[in-house]
Amino acid sequence: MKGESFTKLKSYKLILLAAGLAAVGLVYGGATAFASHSFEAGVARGTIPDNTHIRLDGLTLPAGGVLPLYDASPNFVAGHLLLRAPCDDDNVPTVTVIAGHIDESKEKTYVDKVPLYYIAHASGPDSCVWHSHIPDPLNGGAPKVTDIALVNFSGEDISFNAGDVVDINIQRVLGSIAQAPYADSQLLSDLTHGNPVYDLNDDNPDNDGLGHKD
Amino acid sequence: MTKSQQEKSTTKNVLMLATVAAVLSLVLVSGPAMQHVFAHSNVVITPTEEHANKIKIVLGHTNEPSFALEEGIHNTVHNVDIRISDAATSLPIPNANLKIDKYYFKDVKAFDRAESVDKATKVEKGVSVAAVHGEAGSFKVEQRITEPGIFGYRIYGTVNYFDVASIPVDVTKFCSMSEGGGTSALAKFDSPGWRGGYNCPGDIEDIFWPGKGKSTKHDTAESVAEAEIRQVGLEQGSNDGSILATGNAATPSGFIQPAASSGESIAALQILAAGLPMAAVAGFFGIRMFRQHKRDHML
Repeated sequence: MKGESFTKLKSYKLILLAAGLAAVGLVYGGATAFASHSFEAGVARGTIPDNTHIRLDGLTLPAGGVLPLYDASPNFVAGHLLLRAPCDDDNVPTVTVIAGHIDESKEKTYVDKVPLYYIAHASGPDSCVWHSHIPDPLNGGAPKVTDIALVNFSGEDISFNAGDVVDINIQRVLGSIAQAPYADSQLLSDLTHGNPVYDLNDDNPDNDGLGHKD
Repeated sequence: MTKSQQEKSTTKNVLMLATVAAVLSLVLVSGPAMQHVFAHSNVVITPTEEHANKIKIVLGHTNEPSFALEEGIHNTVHNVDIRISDAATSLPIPNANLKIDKYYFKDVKAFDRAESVDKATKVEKGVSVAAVHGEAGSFKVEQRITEPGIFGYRIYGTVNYFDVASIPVDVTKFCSMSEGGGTSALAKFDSPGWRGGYNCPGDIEDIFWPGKGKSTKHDTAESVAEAEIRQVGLEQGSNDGSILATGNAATPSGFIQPAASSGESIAALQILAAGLPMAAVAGFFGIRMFRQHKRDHML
């Protein structure tokens, strides 16, 4: 019994030590981290990334339909987006990923198509997988992102497959749209079907985009 | 105390300690986010290099508003603070190879008389700019300001635009007598395009009220309390109340170098704050185990 109480005390100590180390790690270890692209700022010191995971399987988005995914207003943010969705023969998603700022006033709204990186080695027979950087200063898209959404510009209903998903990881707040609003307006109705798609793994170096770190 | 009571008490203690540790962790985590509140100038540079987009350079002193050395009152750590970001997205740009030239005029008369920055009261050229560890896009030159007056900085070198372009930079900005800058009379040596302003370091005694060291019979309890609050605020605003400027050697340029960076001082305090609860926990269990061990031996 004495041995049991000693083991219990030891376990409590270990848990507390782990908690303490985790706290110190959060403060000092969570500094800047850079991933595959030169412009990725990663998580700022003292903050924790926010993750949103949305299953798309079983959903049907009608022609012209909009599926809002993320709203960080009034902050414009930096992070990643991962999408698994039906695609065409050129690896372009049938649904269109858009990002920017959707304001209550259309004059203050600016959205654009998100540049996507096709990941062949994670894609399946029915659906493709893409990754994108939010924002992407080198390859295009809206520079200040408060909102992310899927839009169906295809003219037909889009039915998502089993396993289709959107995962958004927001790592840093870059500013406030109230203090740095868009000077011009660009609405959903100004856009057409088809995200720009880059591919680092095919034989064409011209579609690698900019900023990739080898 | 029965064994089950003892175990309950231990669990209670552990829960209390865990709560304290969690609260401390939150304080530690939120600390760095509260550091930067000051006025700065900014300029947008439009590069001509292929693939490069506009970049924004922000310039100021740390711990604005800045004041000159006053021993025992203000520690004078006002590093040259430079932030570089992509103008459209605000993404920080982490890599740059920059230097600064520093100019100091002792007063407006001297500034107005000067035909070029080289006529400044003091000039220091070619000072290296260092990236701030763990804060992408932040750069600094450590300094302590020894005299009030008019300060200006020329920033030059290259900015590595996300590994796709090298953008040359050569900009100059002097401080403003009033916060906000704009049409400041001190802009005659500024390069074009600057917005906003960082304040010219003043004499800290100018904000004393009702006067330096005056403690008259007419002081009300409120005014004394207010003065004390202001004093504490100044020390906290300097990011480092523990390092007061005493016995630091001033350079001929009007700056003291190098200064202990405010971030490092905060880090030291945080390490101390994190270490104390851990030591308390270890001590608590150490004594408990020692007593338990002693009781076991007696049995």
